[in-house]
Amino acid sequence: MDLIINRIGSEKVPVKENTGTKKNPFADLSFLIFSAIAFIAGGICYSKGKEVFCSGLDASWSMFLTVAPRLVAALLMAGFAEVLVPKDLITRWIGKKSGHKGILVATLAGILTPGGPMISFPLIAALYKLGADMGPLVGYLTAWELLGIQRIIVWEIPFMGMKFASLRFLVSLGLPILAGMIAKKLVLRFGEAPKGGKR
Amino acid sequence: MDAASLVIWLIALAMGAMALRRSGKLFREGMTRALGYVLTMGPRMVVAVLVSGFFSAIIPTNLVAAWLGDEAGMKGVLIGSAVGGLMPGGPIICFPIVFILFEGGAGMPSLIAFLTAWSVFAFHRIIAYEIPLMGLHFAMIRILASAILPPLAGILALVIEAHLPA
Repeated sequence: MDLIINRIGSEKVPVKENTGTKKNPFADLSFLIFSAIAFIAGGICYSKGKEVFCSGLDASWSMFLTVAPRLVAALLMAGFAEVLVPKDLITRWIGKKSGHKGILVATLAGILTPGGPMISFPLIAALYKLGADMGPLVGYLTAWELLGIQRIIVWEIPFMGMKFASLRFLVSLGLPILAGMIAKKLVLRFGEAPKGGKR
Repeated sequence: MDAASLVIWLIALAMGAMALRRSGKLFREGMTRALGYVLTMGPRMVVAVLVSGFFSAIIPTNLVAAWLGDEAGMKGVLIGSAVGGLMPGGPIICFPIVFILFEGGAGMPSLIAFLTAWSVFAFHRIIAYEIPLMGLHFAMIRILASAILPPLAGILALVIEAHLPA
């Protein structure tokens, strides 16, 4: 088991290097689409009159002044978190097969996992094949989606502020555990999916 | 500097100090990664901010307030859950939109339902990652298990907000 987990750990590294820091932002499709939307929205504003366009730019500028300093700090945090959190720690936690406690641990691991879907999904796919329970895996994914620290720091707090982010965090705390428990019940009813080679 | 910025900066500095105390190499590695993030995220943030600004100049705020505002209550939470679930794209698209809605008068419970639905049902992620890697069966069970989360989060937020002093 340890051997397999170590192998997964080492396989994760190239995935990360492909998608992580050295990516050219201009090669990204969603970025291009979004730039086009910005352009069109600017055009619509302009067609409604110069003052509408200027008030849009004004709003953008004041938002930039709020968001930029927070974002730089957030990205520093993200960079340091990546080098400080041991890579195999999360794998070890969630790899355990242990009922409700497993869901709780998985929730915690999901909150702490940094990075986008290209990091979290290969990890849980590997655990799934190793035989991890569906409850903890659903708990893990839900926690990563709803409570993932990195997204909260990089996106939510800069845009929405502390009050909004903390209220949302608070109401979402129990949800991954709930989803994990419902998933366990659903598995009893609909059955486990075929795993590993059969898939 | 506002409270949010201050807190993040303090944590960032503390983490930097932690890395530096372990080794200079680790610190440089962390800085390199952070710089990489800045290069990736910087242009995205500029575009996100531009879209937000322009949309905020043209979006009909009275409509937003009526549908998602604090008076909308439960209706706002349900609308937020439904619309958020249909929302495509990553955080670069979602957060500017939520920000505009917030500025336009949408209430926190509606927007929390919106963000929760967007987070658990993001179908670009389901199609690009979850189904290929985990299989359809896993995805279906996870989606079913998550179906009640957005309205639940919204309702909880409604309750808490009602008990909070403004």
